[in-house]
Amino acid sequence: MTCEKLKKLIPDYLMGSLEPETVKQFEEHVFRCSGCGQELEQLRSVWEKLGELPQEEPEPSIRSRFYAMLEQAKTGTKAKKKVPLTERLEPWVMSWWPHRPVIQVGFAVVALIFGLLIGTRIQSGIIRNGEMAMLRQEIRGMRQMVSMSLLKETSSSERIRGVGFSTRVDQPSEPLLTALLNTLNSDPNVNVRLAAVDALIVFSNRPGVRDELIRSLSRQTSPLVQISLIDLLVQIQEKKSLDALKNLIQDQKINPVVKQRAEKGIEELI
Amino acid sequence: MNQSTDHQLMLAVREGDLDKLGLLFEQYHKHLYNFFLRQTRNPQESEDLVQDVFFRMLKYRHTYRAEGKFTTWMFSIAHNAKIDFYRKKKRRGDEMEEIETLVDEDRNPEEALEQESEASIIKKALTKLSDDKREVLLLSRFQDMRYEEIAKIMGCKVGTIKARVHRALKDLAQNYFELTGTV
Repeated sequence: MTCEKLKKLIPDYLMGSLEPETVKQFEEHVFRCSGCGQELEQLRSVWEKLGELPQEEPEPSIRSRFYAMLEQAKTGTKAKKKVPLTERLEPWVMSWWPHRPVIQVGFAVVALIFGLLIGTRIQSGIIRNGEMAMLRQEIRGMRQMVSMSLLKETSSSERIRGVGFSTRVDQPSEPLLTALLNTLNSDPNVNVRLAAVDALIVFSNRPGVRDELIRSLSRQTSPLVQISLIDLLVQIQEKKSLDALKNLIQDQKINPVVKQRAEKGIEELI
Repeated sequence: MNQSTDHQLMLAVREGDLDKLGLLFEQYHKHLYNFFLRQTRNPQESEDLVQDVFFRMLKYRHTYRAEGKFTTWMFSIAHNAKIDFYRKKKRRGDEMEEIETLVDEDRNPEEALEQESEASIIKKALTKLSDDKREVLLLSRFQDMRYEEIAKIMGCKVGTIKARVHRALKDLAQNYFELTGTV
């Protein structure tokens, strides 16, 4: 084997795609030719470093975007492609803008009251902290109301919207959390349930939520929701979920992909 | 999940069982995200591209062939999505980011390097490759693809891809050792 031929074979050698006979010739050559040996070592070290690059995690919203698109495709409406950069703001605005006129009017009224209050306070001097907190409280209440109301809609894409909206409520009330957990456990549509999983990641530190998530694992029948719940429990490193995961694996009827994911999850949690 | 399961799932999607695309999404969206992230170095653009790939998979599901291989088809779509993305970006007047700007010129290179991890150096070395070279390298290293598959994805001859992988690896090594100052 000439040096020139050998050098061309280096990538194949590193990939392990050479025939055993060629590997033998290759290694014999490298053993006695220091120039080729040096080149191989350099390329091998870079090849290995490249392979060690860690996998990075996308934002959880990547899921809800995908499932919203899938939902649209299923209902036969033309799925709209998200346009990056310049027009990225538009879908964002659309995603929180409620479709029901009642809620739209509600928004307008709150905005008006807010503006008026600020206006009068600025005129009369300073806004006292207490009043500011009260205003925040009112806005939070309004957001919760919108989210709860969307969750009750008959259209599944509206309910997905409601779930997405709930993640914008900082410190959601118990009823909203309960509504989200109910959605996760009993919404007829898989994609809405998936969106609920993503939303609940945000609230996983609230008391009781983690236990409910673990309990939900045994109730879910869709492999997609099961996978997504397993991922969530692993992500928040919830060790209490080990028993639930083990039970899942024992289940005879379980989907093989889910089983595989649950086994991987257990490994990561132990 | 093995190739035949992916293939069965995609055939089901083609026949109208769209929910099966969800399983493929769960299996592959992170691979695709990292595939794009390592090329664009922009998380938001990479997420947009992943969304675009699955959108195209839905739109062009009828073109999926029974004798095909799923990952080859998916990465062909990813390859085209990326090309279209840059074409549109260019048309809108955004210049593609200059690779040089990624190396911080103001800092003392030695000092800067001390603070950098191996991973960030290799990422930087990767950014300095041309688009084509970077893509073949990512496909062969991370997706375990053979030259024949990469050739199908990129619409080139097998010989071209073979030479390109070799060249890309050599360039990457050169960039890497230049950045670490050990040339």
